[in-house]
Amino acid sequence: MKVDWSAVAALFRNEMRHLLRDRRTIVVSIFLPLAVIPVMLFSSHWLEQRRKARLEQATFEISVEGSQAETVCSLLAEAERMQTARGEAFRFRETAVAVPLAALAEKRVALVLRGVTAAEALVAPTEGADRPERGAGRAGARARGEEREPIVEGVPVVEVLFRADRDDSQAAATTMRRLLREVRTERRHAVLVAAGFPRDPATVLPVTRENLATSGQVAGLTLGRLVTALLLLFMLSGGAVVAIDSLAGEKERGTLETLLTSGVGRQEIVLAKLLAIFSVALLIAVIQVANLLVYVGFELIPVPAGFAAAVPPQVAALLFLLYLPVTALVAGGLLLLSGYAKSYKEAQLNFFPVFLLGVLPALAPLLPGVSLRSAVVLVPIANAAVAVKEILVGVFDWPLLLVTLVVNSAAAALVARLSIRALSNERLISPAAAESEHVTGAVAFQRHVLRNFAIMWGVLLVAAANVTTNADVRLQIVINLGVIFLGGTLLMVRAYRLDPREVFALRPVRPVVWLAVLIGAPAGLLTGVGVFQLANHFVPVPPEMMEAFGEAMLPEGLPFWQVVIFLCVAPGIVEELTFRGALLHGLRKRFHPGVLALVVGLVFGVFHTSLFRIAPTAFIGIMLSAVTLLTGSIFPAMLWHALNNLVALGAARFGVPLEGLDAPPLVAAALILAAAYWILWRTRCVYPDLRPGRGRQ
Amino acid sequence: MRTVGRLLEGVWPIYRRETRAALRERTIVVNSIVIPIVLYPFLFWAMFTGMAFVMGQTEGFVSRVAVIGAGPQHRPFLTMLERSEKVELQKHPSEAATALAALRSGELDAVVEILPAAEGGAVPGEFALRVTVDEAKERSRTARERLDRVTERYRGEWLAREARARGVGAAEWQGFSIRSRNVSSAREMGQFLLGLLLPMLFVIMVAVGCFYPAVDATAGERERNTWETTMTLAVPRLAVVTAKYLSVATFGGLAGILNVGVMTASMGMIFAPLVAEAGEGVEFRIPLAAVPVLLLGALLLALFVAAGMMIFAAFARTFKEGQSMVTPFYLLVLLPVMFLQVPGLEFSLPLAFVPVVNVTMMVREAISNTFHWPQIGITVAVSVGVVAACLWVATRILAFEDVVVGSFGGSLGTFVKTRLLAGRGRGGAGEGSR
Amino acid sequence: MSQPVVVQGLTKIFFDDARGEVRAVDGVDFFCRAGEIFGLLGANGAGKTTTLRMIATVLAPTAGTALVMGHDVQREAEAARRALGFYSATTALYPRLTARETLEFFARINGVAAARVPARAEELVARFGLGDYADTRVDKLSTGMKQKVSIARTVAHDPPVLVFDEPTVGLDVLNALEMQRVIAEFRREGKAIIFSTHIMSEAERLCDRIAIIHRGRIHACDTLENLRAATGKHYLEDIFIHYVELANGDGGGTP
Repeated sequence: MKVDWSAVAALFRNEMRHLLRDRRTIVVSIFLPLAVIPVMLFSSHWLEQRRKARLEQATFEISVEGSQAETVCSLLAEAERMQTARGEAFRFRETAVAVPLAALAEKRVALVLRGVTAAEALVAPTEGADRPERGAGRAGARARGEEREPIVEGVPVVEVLFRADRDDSQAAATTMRRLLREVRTERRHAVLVAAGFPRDPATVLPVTRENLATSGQVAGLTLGRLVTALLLLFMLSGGAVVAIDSLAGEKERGTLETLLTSGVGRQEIVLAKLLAIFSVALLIAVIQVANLLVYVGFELIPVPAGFAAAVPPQVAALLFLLYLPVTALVAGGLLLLSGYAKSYKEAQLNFFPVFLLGVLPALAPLLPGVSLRSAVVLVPIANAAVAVKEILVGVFDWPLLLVTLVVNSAAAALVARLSIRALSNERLISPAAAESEHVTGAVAFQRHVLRNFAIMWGVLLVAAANVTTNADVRLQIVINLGVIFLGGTLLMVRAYRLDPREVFALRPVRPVVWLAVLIGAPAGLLTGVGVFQLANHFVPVPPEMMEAFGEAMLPEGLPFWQVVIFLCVAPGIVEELTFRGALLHGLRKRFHPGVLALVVGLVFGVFHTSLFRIAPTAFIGIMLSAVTLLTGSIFPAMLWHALNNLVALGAARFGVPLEGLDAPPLVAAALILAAAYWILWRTRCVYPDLRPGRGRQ
Repeated sequence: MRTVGRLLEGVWPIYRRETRAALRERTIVVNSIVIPIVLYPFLFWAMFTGMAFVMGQTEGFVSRVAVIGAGPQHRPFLTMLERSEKVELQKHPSEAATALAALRSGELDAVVEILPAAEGGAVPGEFALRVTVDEAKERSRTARERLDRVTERYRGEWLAREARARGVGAAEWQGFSIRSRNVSSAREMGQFLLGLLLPMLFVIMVAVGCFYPAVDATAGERERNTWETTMTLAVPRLAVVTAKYLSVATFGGLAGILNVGVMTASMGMIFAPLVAEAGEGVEFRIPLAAVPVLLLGALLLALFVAAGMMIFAAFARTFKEGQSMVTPFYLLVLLPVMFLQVPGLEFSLPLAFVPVVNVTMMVREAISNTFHWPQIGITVAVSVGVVAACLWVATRILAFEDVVVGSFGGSLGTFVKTRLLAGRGRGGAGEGSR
Repeated sequence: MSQPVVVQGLTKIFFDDARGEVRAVDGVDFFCRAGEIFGLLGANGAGKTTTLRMIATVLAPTAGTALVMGHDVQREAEAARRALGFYSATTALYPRLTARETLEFFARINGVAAARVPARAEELVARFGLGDYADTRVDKLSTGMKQKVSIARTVAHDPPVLVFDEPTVGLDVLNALEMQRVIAEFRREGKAIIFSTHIMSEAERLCDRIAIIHRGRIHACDTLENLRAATGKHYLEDIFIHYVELANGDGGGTP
């Protein structure tokens, strides 16, 4: 590829000049955010300070009640004495109220302290505590301020009753609990000394804490976890302004055609635009960082000590180097987005997914314990984010840093190439070639199918919110499968006047296919387990993901035959009709078969509305889509699906653990799966009317 | 009276046409309806499951700890360490220097050195500890927290043992027990959490919901060249503008209400199980009494935001121009809402005089079932006043023909400068170039 | 043949979800000499624009070839583009550049040597009478002035081939006449000009040879005199209708 750099320079100059003259856009999308951020920071900082100050200086009204109220009062007096001795202010004031809990509810007091005897505490749980006690999650309860020390016979109990839905009550309860514990410790120490303990008990068993990390490294960790995501946020939002104007805007204005008929190549055009977006994105990121640093200087943003030490100049230079290909990638992604939109408006509408796609991987360093020496090094953006974090805590893994640079540069180059291709794609450059808008029936269905599934997903989510809480598993399944999936699918078939036989691929298959399904389904399940175990070696896979295999959540108290009906047969039929039926049919012309299987599988995964289950269910979904595509019929997929669930549930029912299998059976399963697909391939009767192979562009 | 009748007669059909046209515009449908229904719940879901995932990962790590210098007399301490589930004692290395090196390279999470207690009055069996960690590593930080808990417990038990040995009774040692309980009901907790989040999203959604219809109803029509068709309709011009205005407000209010409903549902589904796992019962329900206030809030806010946005957008001739012109107003509306993230902010009388913020506070209080009627009264009055002011400005603007037909080439700022401030007459060369 | 533009068997098939295969242009052959205006006459959707866009390398032909000054539009797209200037109602100008900047920019990217660019822009400004407005931003210019700038940028690099795709669409009579005058002037300069229109009078007045295109095929291609002789009709409109009816008659198989 020979590039005419002087043409690129001319195009770039033109691009920048044109952008800079659009003063309103520049002001609104660049300078306005620049001004808004400090205002936002300042006001929220100020408000938070004020809140803290108010809570710190407030004197809380409290009310004391119960048979042991006097004990509580003496404890309060002791606490006051203790705080006064330390030179602190005691900020509780006892108020006499008739009904303490009512006063608490009416915000007249911040806390109610109730002194009771152990016997009383054991017999009667406090009224007003209508919340069920849960065995699980003590840690969570403690974090939120609930405390249940064991009750010792003959020992009075002090109950701190507060309201977690009130800021002041929470704060008061926290302070009060701390004070009470301190009072008790002092008392105990006094008791011990009185009993003849030779030393001050407070100094016993000393623990010294040492930290190998410098303060710079500690600050580096805090900074490193978020800095990439923040920068990407700036780059994406700033770069988008140029990018959207650059291709989509040119299309709309009609200047793109002028440009395309001029004597420069498409690669020069793309390069120049890329360069323009790249410079603007970089510039904005730099300006924003500088902007933030100014506020750090003014102490509007609190930073940990050693912040400055974390980023010496040579490290900053290295970070800059790492960010260069990332910026190029971002610029490329934005240009691609712009290239694939027909108008300015459309580009804006599509911006959000690209935004998520960019920022999400940048959050990788938030995963604890993730290191550059893992599969993460191959994921663009995520690798740079992790690399930056490691550098900031003082780890310089040179070979992998190099890999990171190469991966990101390669990704950027790839995206740039795709942009060049978008400029050669006739559908994209000339709106005249676009098809007519008003279509009905099957064609409309193909266009709307994804949107309809998105709506279905929303309904599923809402229904689950209102039903799942305490409904029978069977009712849930009936609602999900019977009403939402089946109902939604049939509604689509009716609304678009489709032929059910076509949509659901209700076609007979050759007998040998059944054999393939019989051996393929269990083998597929095991292979999936194996794949995720393998993945576990590179990126830690949460155990939930392994458990989620094959929907192995065995509902309790259901006879096994019902389990089979509700969790194997019904999903096998209904989910297949919906996903391998309607969805696959609707998308068959939009994607090439391989991508189609992937997309259908992924949507299937997303419909399981749990993050941990997306990957395993998507894996199954992809296998099932492949089966349907190869056999041209939905029946094998139905059997496969039901069998898959049956094996998983059976294993759970009879206590056969699927996780933690050794390599040999897993490899064998993979081979059997391959054999099953080989049979399907040899006897294939391909799904009709798929998108043809990639033609000449 | 006749004119009012004629006006209303004109408004309804145009309103219907506007709304229907907007419903067929992808940008508007996506931003006013799809995003509040699908996107925010989805983000929420992704965020919370992601957080749960990260937290689970952190919890899941076993802390690798090397203990240096342990003798047989330290057996009870070691046993306690071994018994805590998330701590794994490493046999090697057994020397401090190598252990620290391993800590540095990340093979260990913490090094515990057992040292002899400081001389002078040492209690038999006493020892000192030195815990070394690398705080630049998350795992190491977790390890330190875990070790702190174990040593604290060991200390407590040790002192208790000493006390027992010296004849202190269990009851005397305990002194008193502390129990603490949150007496808010699950529903009250839910209302509190909803109150922190929902009002903000509510304002954002009303603003987003108004944004695109407002731009589309003005600049969009000019871009599509349908503006003149609309302006030559046989109804009073005021009717056209009113209809457009009401249509825009409808979308804003709709987006706000939809979002509140869907967010409440998805909080119940996504957030409640998560906190329930942490031992908390939270129930997300909006009290019935809050519904009228919510609707009122949506109405007031939508009327104001729609009026403001249309005033700005009225000067735009293309969709893009419209967007840039409306954005400052959009930010202006959203900015005060940032204040509301702080919990414990009370709906005081002065706050009731601040537009937008007052509606938000009103909604926030309604969600937690609190109604301050004087403040609500002021809020309504202030909002109506602001809307009236906007409408007055709008009529002033509509008096200029070139703005109405779309040949005025400038923004609201230019307009105010050249027309309202400079007095009367035709200021700039308001000739359209299209 | 070494004509400036040679088109052979040019075919364009669009693939459309709704309608399936669409043959927008179906085996078109023609050529254009230097100093000649070659007119493509057809109704809306006949395939004129698609043909011209293929010559201008915006679209890639499905089959067939087009040579511009001997350069194949697919294999040597850039060389072909440098040899032609393309003008249509949809080729707009950058609104925020001045007229002079526009001309300089297009001269530069069309391969005019950097040192010669300012002089060339000055020439164009003088030739098209843009003097007073040369440093005004394009979005502030009147329609007529914009049109002049647009033509000037089309010939910024003095190409031997000019392609005008319905250049008079949306112009008033005076501006349309001006356009025709300019095009005629280019013919005198010896440029090969391809010109498409659906306005009969324009074709009659301007074109040396006319091709009648309907549903992607050329049904007749000759001078106006010869066409008159072949059909026995005088007015171009009648000639056009004659060929279209003929085509509809025998091409009835494809709707």
